[in-house]
Amino acid sequence: MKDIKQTWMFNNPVYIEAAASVSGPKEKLGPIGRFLDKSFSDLYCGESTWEKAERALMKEAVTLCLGKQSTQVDDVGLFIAGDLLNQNVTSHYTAREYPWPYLGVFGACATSMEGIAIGAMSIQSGMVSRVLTAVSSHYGAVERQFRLPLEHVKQHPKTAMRTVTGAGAALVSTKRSPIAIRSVTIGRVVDWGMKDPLDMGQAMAPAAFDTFKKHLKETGKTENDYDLIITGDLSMFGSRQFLELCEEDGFYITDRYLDGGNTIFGYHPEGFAGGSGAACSALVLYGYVFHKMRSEHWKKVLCIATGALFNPLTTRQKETIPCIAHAVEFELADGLEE
Amino acid sequence: MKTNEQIMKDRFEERRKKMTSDRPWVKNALIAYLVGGALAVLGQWLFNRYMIWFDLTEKEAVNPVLATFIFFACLLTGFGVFDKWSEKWGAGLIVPVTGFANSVTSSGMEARAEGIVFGVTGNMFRIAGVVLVFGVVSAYLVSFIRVLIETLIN
Amino acid sequence: MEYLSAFLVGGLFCFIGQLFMDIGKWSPAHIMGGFVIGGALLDGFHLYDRLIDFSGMGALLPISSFGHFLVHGAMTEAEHYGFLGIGMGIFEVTSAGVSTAILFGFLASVIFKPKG
Repeated sequence: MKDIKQTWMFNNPVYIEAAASVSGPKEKLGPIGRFLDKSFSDLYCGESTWEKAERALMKEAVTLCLGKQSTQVDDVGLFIAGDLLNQNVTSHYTAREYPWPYLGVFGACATSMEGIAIGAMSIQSGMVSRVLTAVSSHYGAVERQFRLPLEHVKQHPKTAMRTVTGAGAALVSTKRSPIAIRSVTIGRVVDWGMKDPLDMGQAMAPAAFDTFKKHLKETGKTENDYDLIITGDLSMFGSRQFLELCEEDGFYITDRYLDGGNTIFGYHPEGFAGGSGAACSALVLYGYVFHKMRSEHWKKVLCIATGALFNPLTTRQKETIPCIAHAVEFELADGLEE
Repeated sequence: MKTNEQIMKDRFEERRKKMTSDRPWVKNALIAYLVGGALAVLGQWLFNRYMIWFDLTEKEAVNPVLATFIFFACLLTGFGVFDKWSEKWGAGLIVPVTGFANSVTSSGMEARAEGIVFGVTGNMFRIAGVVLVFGVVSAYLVSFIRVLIETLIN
Repeated sequence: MEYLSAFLVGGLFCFIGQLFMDIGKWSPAHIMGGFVIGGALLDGFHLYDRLIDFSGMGALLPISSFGHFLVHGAMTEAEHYGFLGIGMGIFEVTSAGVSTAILFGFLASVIFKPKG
């Protein structure tokens, strides 16, 4: 069987012009809290319901992102957004307030990189010059939709992950900026038959591995070409599985590997395995990693955002959890030949 | 002959089992025993007090005690501490009536944003409905069988 | 003495519940449902009454007493009205518990917001 191409390299570099991250209170206390642009001190973010709070987060991220390079609203040609709620409502209701053409995308926790990939590809095609991507998730709203009521008695297994409250927005454009997008790898849906919705990290690890391997093969690079390989939200158990899978295949990346879920709340958070949710990879990447890239700490970064594509009904119907991972390669633009 | 991918999957599954199997069940079960026992002792104390304070018979005093527990479970759920306690104390809070009261309140509270009719009242028995339905169905069957046997004997 | 027996039996119920949760991977909803069925079945053999005589609140506080009370109410009415009595009496004893849970649950839902 012929291998289907999954990676697209960009000859004319596409840049991240600006990126903004907004978070809830608990993320602020984590190790990357000081790299975030703004944090709300209350989980309700000044609104009356969880859903409205998530909308406020995304709106804030979009506003901040536009404000960074003082981009005008009518400079943006396309808006791509996604979140975890049913029918992507947060994105739709945010897009309602702006005049942009809009695409709502869903890739569970991989939405952040999915948005950037679509944006970068549409810019590469020359049809549009500036694309704004946004992504958000909210602990209360997600917990309510995917699991039990928030105040319900429960005892989480240690593999359970806490959804990150926050939103990230990134402006992808042709304007020369410090961080460039070199290639994207769109993942396949991978399902290794895991059924536990409280153990998403391990379910997603094979998908991350599949995309990682595909990316290296198609770009002809080795794992040593990267200064940092970051996965979205595999968390404690999933990232261990990912590293093991890589080692079995001969990639030794432990010294250059970071996981968003492990980073956002600290490496050993009390009572859960780490962070998850669409905003997890966005906060860590837009807040922390981009900051470090701009200060030339890392020059080449591969971000693999992973998503578990399940639904509360399918898990109750005892279906397995299909997973996906999208990878985007970022590079410090100084290293590019003009 | 196993394919390469199958071998990887098997190893993956092996590691998964190893990493997730060691749930501290002995410790959890002992904590649940202590908490549940303490609640029962508290209930027993209240029961004795209520009989003296309100001059009730043994049969009459049971419901006020249960109502007290239900009241405090609802209140603590409202303050948002109950789910944090249950994270540590587990079944010690779930098995007593407090668990039932909590599931009624938490489902209702969560749906408050959708209004009173479709939100609170419609959702209050989302989880607690398990207790009512199973309770009534099993009690009906048990009673039916018992009445049937008694009529047959007489 | 009654305190000791209440402690032992009340704790035992929770102990069993925790084992089901950890080893059987039951959710809280499964636990509550299971205990109610268990209470109703035990009452069918008149065992639950003995447990209550022995431990008082230790056996009354767990949710299994709900199943026991349902059977009890049904049986009380069934003595007078036969099969028809089951439906008439099933909520007779438990109505106080269920109605307080509904009342306080409703009030708390209206007053409080989930904290997260």
